[in-house]
Amino acid sequence: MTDSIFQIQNLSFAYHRQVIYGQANLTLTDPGVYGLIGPNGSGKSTLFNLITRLLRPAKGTISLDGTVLTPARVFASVAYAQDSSVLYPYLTGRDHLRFVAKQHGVARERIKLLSDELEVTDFIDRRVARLSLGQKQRLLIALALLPESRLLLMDEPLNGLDPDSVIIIRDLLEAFKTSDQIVIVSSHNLDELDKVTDRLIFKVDHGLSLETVAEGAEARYAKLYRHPRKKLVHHA
Amino acid sequence: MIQLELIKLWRQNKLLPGILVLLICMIGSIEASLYFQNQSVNTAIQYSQTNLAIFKVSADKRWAEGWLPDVKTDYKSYENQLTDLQHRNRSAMTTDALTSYSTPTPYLLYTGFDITQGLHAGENEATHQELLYLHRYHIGSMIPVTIRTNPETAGTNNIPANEAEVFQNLSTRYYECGWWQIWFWAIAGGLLVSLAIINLFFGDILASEWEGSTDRTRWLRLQNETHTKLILTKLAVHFGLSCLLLGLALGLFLLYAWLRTGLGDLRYPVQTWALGKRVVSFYNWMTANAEANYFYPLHIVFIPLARYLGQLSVFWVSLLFLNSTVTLLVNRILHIRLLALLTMVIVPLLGLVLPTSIYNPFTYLKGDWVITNYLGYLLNQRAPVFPWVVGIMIAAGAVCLGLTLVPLSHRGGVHFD
Repeated sequence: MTDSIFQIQNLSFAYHRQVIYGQANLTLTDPGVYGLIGPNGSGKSTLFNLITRLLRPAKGTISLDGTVLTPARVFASVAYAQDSSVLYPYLTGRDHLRFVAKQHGVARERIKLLSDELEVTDFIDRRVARLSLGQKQRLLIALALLPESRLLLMDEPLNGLDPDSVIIIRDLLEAFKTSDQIVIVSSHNLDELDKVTDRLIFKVDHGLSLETVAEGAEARYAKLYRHPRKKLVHHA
Repeated sequence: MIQLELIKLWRQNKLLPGILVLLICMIGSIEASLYFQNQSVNTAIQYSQTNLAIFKVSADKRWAEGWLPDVKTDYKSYENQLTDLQHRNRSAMTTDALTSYSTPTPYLLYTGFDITQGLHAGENEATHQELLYLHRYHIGSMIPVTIRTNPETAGTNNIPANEAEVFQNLSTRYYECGWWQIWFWAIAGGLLVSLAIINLFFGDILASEWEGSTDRTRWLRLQNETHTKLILTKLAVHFGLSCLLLGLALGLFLLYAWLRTGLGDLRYPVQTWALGKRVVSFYNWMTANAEANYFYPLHIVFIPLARYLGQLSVFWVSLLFLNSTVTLLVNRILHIRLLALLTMVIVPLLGLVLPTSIYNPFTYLKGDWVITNYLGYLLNQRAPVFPWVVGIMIAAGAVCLGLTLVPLSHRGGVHFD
């Protein structure tokens, strides 16, 4: 039997009577970067919300290092880079970072370190409302990286980014390949995902499937999800 | 968490503008009082001069060969009233008015016999008691000297239509000093206005966590902040800042008032209603005794303003607590920031326009009626209503808080852990 680091067992969840997950299972045995792929609305963000206990599953357990994730355990071991709408528009990046650092008992020096690494320093004292999407994404990632969690979840971190931001985040993900952390990245940017990992988690029907994809994420995606287009017929 | 909340409010520029708006309203109130007081004094002087001239002509006609000694004394007394008014001499006005009110036919120069006899509900008796109190403690009266009217009976006095304006002048007071203005706000619904102003800035304190489909509590909960802690923090911040805002604005206002007109005497008599013995009126009209005992078994008693303001501060703080909990509950239910804000501004102001009734909850929030126990008279209570009204406000606040703390699933099917 292989020791799992992260495990989802018999996870079931429905929203408005629509089943999102039914008896879903997933086991990750190695640290590193994993991609999470699925069509829009298939439940990728829902999975992150279930892992972090923002949503409560109808059935099933999610465990990390052999311990079931509770809110306290999530706080201690899971970091989640949510979408940028959760940031307070009237607060600065530093306000957000300081709050998270205080909550986790992280030294303030680490804020500077991460800000420099993610090139957040230039806009750290600017209000979030005045930041570009790429800057907000970098700030969210800095917030998630601050506590040095065992499991890092990143929800569409490459969405709407300028090339500079994409390079910064790609380099960061590259660095995680050799760390002892697990990073799960949900993204529609399959090319970029290909560049950082070949271990992909696909949302298939109501379950999850972990695959090591040599053929590339896009080709696998096409096989799994893409249906032949109907021919458009012009009616005169 | 509290620190984050304070930073949020600071960054949203809510603290200083909040103090500023409150202060502007307070200063506007005292300036308006001073303006209308000046007009009222001028009108009173005109009435007095007219009445004095009529008195003189009438007396000359009746006692052409020479005025009787009593008439001469009365004339001198009225002349003194006019001189005191012109010089705005508060102490002398108090003494002259007391002299007049210690006769069977009290007479203020700018009123007339008909008005004072048309009053009821012990208003002349109360005015006499108030003047005695002022004289005993050497306190100058508010100017002009006015009849002490009761909150609701003032409007039902049997005043001839052509004298209504005189009655208005005779019964309207102008609280021109600092402490007196605070007393005036308690009478005129200023407490509810203060809530509306506070809510204008903090009325969306919880709803601001939700904007459209965004739920920022998701981020907070990831930082080990539970729903209960979030609500309690919001309550502490809302209540604390409400008190701070009001306290700072009041402090600055009192400084302004001290420089402008002075703070006023804290021993100034405030009319209250308490159990007491039947009064035997010495006024000479037939219904004087019945009028003096209108509120029996309650009785008009005067207390120093300091005591009144002490009770008012307890009432106000309790009201702020209730307001904070209601704000959280409304925010929790509505979730929509602007709607929550609008609701919390409008709701307190409803108290100013809804009719007085025992079925209207705002009737119980009239600070002056509660502290003076006039509410006790309306509710046929013998004991003071102040303790139980304050108790009910705190209990109602606790109920609102309890309801806010009840976990609800909301958009996105998110559950609170």
